[in-house]
Amino acid sequence: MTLFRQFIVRALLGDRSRSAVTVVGMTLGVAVVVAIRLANTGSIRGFATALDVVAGQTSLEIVGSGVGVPETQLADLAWLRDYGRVSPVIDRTARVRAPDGTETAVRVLGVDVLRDRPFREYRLLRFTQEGRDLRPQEFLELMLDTSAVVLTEQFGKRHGIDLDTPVELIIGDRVHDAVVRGLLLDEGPARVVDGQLALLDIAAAQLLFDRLGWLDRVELQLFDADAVDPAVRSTRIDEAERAIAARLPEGLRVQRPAQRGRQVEQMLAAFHFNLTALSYIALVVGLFLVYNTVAVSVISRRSEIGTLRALGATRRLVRGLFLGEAAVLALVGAGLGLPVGWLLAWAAVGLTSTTVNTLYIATAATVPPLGAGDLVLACAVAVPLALAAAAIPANEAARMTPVAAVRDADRFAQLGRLPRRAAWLSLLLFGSGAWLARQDAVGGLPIFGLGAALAVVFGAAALVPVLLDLVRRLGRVPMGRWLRVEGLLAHANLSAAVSRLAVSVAALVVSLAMLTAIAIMVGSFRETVTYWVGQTLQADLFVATADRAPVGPPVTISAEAERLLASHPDVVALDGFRNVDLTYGPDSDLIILGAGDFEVLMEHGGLLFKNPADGRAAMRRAVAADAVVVSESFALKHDVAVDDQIDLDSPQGTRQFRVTAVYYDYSSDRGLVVMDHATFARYYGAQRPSGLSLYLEPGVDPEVVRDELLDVVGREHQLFIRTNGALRAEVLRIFDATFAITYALEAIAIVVAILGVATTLLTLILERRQELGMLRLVGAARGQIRRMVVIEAAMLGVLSQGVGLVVGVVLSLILIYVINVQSFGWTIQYHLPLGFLAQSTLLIAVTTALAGLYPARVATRATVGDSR
Amino acid sequence: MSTLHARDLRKDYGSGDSRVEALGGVSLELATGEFVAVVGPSGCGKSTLLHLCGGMDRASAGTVAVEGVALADLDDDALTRLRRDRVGFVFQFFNLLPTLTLAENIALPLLLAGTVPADAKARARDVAEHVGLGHRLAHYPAQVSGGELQRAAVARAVIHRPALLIADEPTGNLDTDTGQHVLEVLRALNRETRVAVLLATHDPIIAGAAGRLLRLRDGIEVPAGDPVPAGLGSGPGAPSEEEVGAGR
Ligand SMILES: Nc1ncnc2c1ncn2[C@@H]1O[C@H](COP(=O)(O)OP(=O)(O)OP(=O)(O)O)[C@@H](O)[C@H]1O
Ligand SMILES: [Mg+2]
Repeated sequence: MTLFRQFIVRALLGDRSRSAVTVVGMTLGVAVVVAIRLANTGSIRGFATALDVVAGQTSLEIVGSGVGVPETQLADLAWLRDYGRVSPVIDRTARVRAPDGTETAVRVLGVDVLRDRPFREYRLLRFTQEGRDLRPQEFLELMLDTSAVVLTEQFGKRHGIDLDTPVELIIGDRVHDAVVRGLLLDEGPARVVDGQLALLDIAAAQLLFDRLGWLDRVELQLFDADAVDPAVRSTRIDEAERAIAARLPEGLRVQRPAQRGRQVEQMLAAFHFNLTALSYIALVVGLFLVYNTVAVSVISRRSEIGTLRALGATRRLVRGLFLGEAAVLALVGAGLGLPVGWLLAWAAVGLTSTTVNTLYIATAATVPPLGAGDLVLACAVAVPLALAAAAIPANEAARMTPVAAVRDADRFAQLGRLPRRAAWLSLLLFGSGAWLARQDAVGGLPIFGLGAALAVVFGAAALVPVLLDLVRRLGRVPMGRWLRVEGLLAHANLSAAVSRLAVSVAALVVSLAMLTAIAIMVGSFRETVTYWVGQTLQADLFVATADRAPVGPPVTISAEAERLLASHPDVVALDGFRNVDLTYGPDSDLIILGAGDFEVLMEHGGLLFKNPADGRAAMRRAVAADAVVVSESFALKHDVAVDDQIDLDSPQGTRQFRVTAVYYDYSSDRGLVVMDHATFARYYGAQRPSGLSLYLEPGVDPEVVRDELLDVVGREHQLFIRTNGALRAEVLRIFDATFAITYALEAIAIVVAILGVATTLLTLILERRQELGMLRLVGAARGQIRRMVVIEAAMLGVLSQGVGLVVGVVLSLILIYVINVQSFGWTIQYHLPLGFLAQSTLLIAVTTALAGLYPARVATRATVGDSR
Repeated sequence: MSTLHARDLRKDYGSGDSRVEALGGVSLELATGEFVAVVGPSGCGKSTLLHLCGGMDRASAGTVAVEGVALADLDDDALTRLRRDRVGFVFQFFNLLPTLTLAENIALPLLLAGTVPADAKARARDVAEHVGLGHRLAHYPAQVSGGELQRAAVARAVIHRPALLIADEPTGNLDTDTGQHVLEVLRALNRETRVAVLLATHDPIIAGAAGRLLRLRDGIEVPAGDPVPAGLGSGPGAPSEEEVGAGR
């Protein structure tokens, strides 16, 4: 231990800059991993808490297929009372406009007050200024008034609302007047959802949400649900669930409330999985730095190790010393990485929330607090990996003989078989990458695809010593010629340090390859989406409500608003898009069932078909038949082809539909099934559309028509009307927001990698002080020394970027054709963003050259005195 | 005009209590083509004197002029240029760049001065032939012997035809025979190119090759006649004053 302190800790403290960079690298690596994990759990937890709160004491719930439970069936379900208490529920979102002018989205529960009391803790209600509890009868009377709404005390405080304050409820496009009749105390459930909860009487809710005759679900609280032992409780619920499932009529399902959370989790799984994978790049780069630091300390201290060995240190002790060095670096990195990661998580939540909110679920994502578990996790990830990274140099140190103490000359002899071995290794890795890329996804996650990407990345890393060796052998003459004596010297210096530079350059290559691949993938994707948007967004105006609900019951547009819009003389056609969530397949995956007017779609060409080529004919065949068109991601995920039959749940039970076409869609990776609105109405009943497309007379200015339409619908209807151009811009904005985090993660990895190269150069320069002094002595000016070091740095940058570009192209193929297809099921047209790649190449060359400036300054500080 | 003119050179290292006076006022003059050996016990200030004369370090007091140019008046760049153009250096440790071939090492001063690489290479070949290294040009320092390394260092020191050659124990790291060989090379160059040589050594045989001796002790010149205290390299066989004088 004393030896460790003297030999390792002192050296780490002595070589501050290198230790610091390694720790920074580890810290950032751990921080990014922690941040993404926190952000991912944060977005799911936001949804889960809301779910828990609303679920209250509910054990099971009965749900319908897509459109909910018809109220008429409730009478047939009287037998449910044998199992427990039953409460029908409307569960929606709306906006509350407070007297202070703010509009806030709230979760709205419509309940039958008397039946629902055991389910949720209403004794927390405050209905009178005295704060006394209300008797059920009084409660009922209050709520029977359809304009009555109960908000939370927290919400009230924030927006200056008290009992009997009038507020406006915005539901879909309609604005309703309401009066606050009660406030939930700021305790328990009301607090967890941040106060954004509203209670309505169920009848009022059905009226306001246009759901007369329908329930969103029926909740069931088993009589013995309060069994103390959770295991007993769980088996009771299981038994009841099975029994009820057997008795339910077609079109209804029984599930646990948590099931909805699991569905959301599953829906987000691919997105989160890919983010997590990406976050590990920074960690891998950090590990390269650990390897590098330990390797450098082993190499530069050969003679000291030899002396130790000569003095009787065992191999095991020497190995332990250097592994200890890695462990210390990793522990410090993990310790610092946690708080930094927590801070980064906020940024990550900000960067991902647009995506999650638009594509998956609307959630108020927050970052969960750090726990001891996170510390354990960070250490459990960082330390073993760091030890593995350090094992190679530590073993090298252990193999060193006492002779090394007296024979320092083999500093240059160590190259030996390294390049050849590395070449074989890289060949092997590329080979296995090719094999892995052909394997199928595992449970919807691209495990093998990522394996292939990893194999290619490490293959590229292994290629680095080979290439450096090649540069060593072939670069001398051209470099001496183009860059004169500084080039010659730079080349000579790099040649002497191939094995020491290999690792830090490899780290840079890895992150640059990833950047290239991601840039190509995102660039291709953007091109594809732009083209797709151009082909499919054909309508002149798009109408939507201010609220969006990526999951759950859709927010709809009222018939009155639709009539007003259709009556405008310039509107020639109008198509409403209806959609409901549906579970599909054995895993109950959440898909979207959509309905549109196929006649209008055929005439105006709103879909881009993948198969068959003549999509219009296929659509025509689907009209007035039990047939659908499906999105590409649906077809891929559920292995469905044209002319296959698929089973869809409907209120009338499971029905078969024939697939007549597969079309491209990038709006959601959940999978879309679309049917003609007449077919939809036949099976799912009449439903208000959640969006409208308006086609205008040729030649009219859509902007003008939009303004006129907004005037027509007036203040009673809250509608968003976007022109075609504005919607396209919006799509691309969401697209860019989706990939912002990707670039942010990548940027961190590159910064760490460049730091790594700079410190390696710095170490080499500190070791070469004597040589530098000699150069000064025989007449090298400071400027020449500086140029020499900057050339070295820039050369490494250019080399790394060169390899990074080539490997990046390979990686991008894997990303686009394997990982993307397996995770999201999208076809992306390959497109090389040449401008971006050229820019990034220039930027990398300049940045690495700049990173050489500090080592260069240190180098010019060498005086002729150092030559002695 | 003499090649080297040094007057009352003083050099202190450190400050305050830890101050060491390495040179306490030494004067020296070398004419063109002269060969002067600096001798004295270890720590007497030989290296210090050579560093000051070669423009590697600045004196605490006193003046040094190389070919009439006062070094104190030159800034760092000008001093670098002067070293590059007019002075050559050979040290005990050969100080070659391990990553360059011998030819490139020899050509380095010319390359740094901006000479066309082809010309520099040609000149390096000439000089290498001269010191007997023609067959080792493409080798790396790790691949040749100590004597060859030192001859390469000598070749590098004179490739740019300096007026002054500073040699600090150039044979200190070599066995007697090899050292003798390197000395021969130095003497031949001194004779043929008229370069003034200022050489520090412990070795009386090497010192015997010099035209003149400068004896130092504790940083000051010891007048001729006083016994030269035995240096590390001197033994019972050290030559007397007369022998040295007769040597040349
Ligand atoms: N950089 C320095 N800092 C402090 N003292 C120094 C430094 N360089 C030399 N000295 C001191 O100056 C004195 C003269 O040193 P110098 O190297 O000139 O002696 P030398 O005659 O060359 O000795 P040697 O024969 O051992 O090479 C010595 O006492 C030495 O300790
Ligand atoms: Mg000396």
